Amino acid sequence: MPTLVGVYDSPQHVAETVTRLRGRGFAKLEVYSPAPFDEVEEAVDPKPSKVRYFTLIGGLLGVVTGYALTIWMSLDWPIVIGGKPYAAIPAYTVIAFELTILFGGVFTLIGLLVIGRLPSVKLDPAYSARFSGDEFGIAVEVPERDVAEVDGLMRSHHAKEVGIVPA
Amino acid sequence: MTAADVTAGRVSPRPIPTALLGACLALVAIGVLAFVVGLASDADTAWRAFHVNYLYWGALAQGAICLSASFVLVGARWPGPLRHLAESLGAWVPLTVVFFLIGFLGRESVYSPWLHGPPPGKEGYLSAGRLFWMDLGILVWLAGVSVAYLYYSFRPALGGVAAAGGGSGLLRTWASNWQGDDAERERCGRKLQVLAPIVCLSFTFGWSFIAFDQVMSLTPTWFSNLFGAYFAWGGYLSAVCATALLAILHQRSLGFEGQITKDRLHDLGKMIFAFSIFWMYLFFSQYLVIWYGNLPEETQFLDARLGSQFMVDKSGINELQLSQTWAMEFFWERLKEPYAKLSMVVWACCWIVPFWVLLGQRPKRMPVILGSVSAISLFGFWLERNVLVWPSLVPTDTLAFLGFVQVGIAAGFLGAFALVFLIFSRRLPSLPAPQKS
Repeated sequence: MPTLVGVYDSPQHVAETVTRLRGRGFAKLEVYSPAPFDEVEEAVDPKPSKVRYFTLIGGLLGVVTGYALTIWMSLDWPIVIGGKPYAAIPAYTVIAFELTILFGGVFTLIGLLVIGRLPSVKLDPAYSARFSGDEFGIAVEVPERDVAEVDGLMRSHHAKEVGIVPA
Repeated sequence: MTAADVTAGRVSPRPIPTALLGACLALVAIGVLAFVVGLASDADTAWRAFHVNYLYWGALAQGAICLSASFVLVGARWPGPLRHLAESLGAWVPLTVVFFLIGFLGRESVYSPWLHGPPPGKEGYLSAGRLFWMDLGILVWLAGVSVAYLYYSFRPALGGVAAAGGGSGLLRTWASNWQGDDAERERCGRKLQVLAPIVCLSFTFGWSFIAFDQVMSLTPTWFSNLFGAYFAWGGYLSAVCATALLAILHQRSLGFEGQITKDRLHDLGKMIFAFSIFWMYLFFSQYLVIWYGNLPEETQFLDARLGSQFMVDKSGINELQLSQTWAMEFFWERLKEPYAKLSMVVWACCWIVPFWVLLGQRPKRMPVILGSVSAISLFGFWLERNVLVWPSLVPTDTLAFLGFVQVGIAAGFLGAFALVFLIFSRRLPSLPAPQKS
């Protein structure tokens, strides 16, 4: 299937075009943006990112590890310190809290890399350096028979250029 | 009055619904009755309940002005009409001075732990004269700054009143010497920029000292530098919750249609979520060092509220139990100590519920959920003020804060606060209809 690329100046027009394309059933699309824009993200994928599951699992793992590690070590080598219980929850809460943040953060990074399929060694053929400057791009895979329609749709939403990516 | 009578950015006085007015007046009547009955039957209880409610509503109202001032300070545009809603809660602030003066008449009941014999070394600070003049000064200063802040915040919306030459009382006074819309907006904006940091600092320092003097001193041998900030933060957070609740109640109010957007509720939800964590953090950071130090002069305050299971208390514990103090059965056993369960309810209302319910994005945007969490938090903070005061005065009876007199006085304060809010937000000067955005 050919891939069409539309070039835009404003994130608003990108969001409108993406909404229309998705509404028409063209789900295999990629948007290039020089900076993050809420409206574009909302249009491309209105569902919350799956990265949050990585964060949640990381955070839970962190809190369990924090308590388990400290309690296990204290009970393994029991020494009364300052008259406190061996398994001193208030003190270990600090460790558990820190590990929650640490594991949550690290898992978020991992989730970001996994979901974003990063690092990417090969550049997308539809990508152009101008999309890291001040322009936006929408690349969409369309069947041969819909090329003219999508071309028209993009132009009607203020695409300043529309082209086909060479295979 | 119809939507056509409302002009964006202008105050729009409207009648107070009779049912609401009647309910508020009924609550005030119940409060007055309960207070009078209380004074005749058990004056100590009546004055203590009065003290708790005066503190709760006072800190909330001043926190609301501080909330608005923080919006101004950071140049926040997202709150839109929420800023004036928060300010309307602050109309109560001048009354706090009156309630302090009334409450001081009951000093024998409230400050009994030190009034006639402060602990050695604290005689200079813990004296009725010092407390009266210093706290009166603080509250008068806060009232003055708050009224000035309200004046400059509402003044640009009074153009219509000035043009019509009408209005009465406060409205006419506030609208006098009108110099034109643009000039007033510019002048008042500049004044607010100056007043906002003053309001925030005054609230923080002022209510910290009021917390030291009027709450912490009730256990006169205990001290905590953080307590003032913790108490003031409770007031600020309850103001955010009250603003969220009012925003939801104003969703269909005249001129507010479409203005209490899901985005705005989402932002308020984020504030409640984050600030409740900070509230718990303030508590925990103080608790941890007290727990670690395990000095009787420090642990007494938390021991009287949370019970001994949260302290290192080895009396009657053998070596095996010591190693298991984190086990659940031990925990439940010690919850039977006075006020321990009540303190758990406070944690649940002020932190556990806001944290877990508002963790996701969707609950923050749903008025029913955000409104319920706000109401639960507000109730939680009322309980918390009770937990801070009562155990110092009645250490053994968990339910000392409940009873006809206590609940009646609380109802009276609720009615009076709602009445002041309604008068300010609907009559004098009334909320400006939001600019459509």
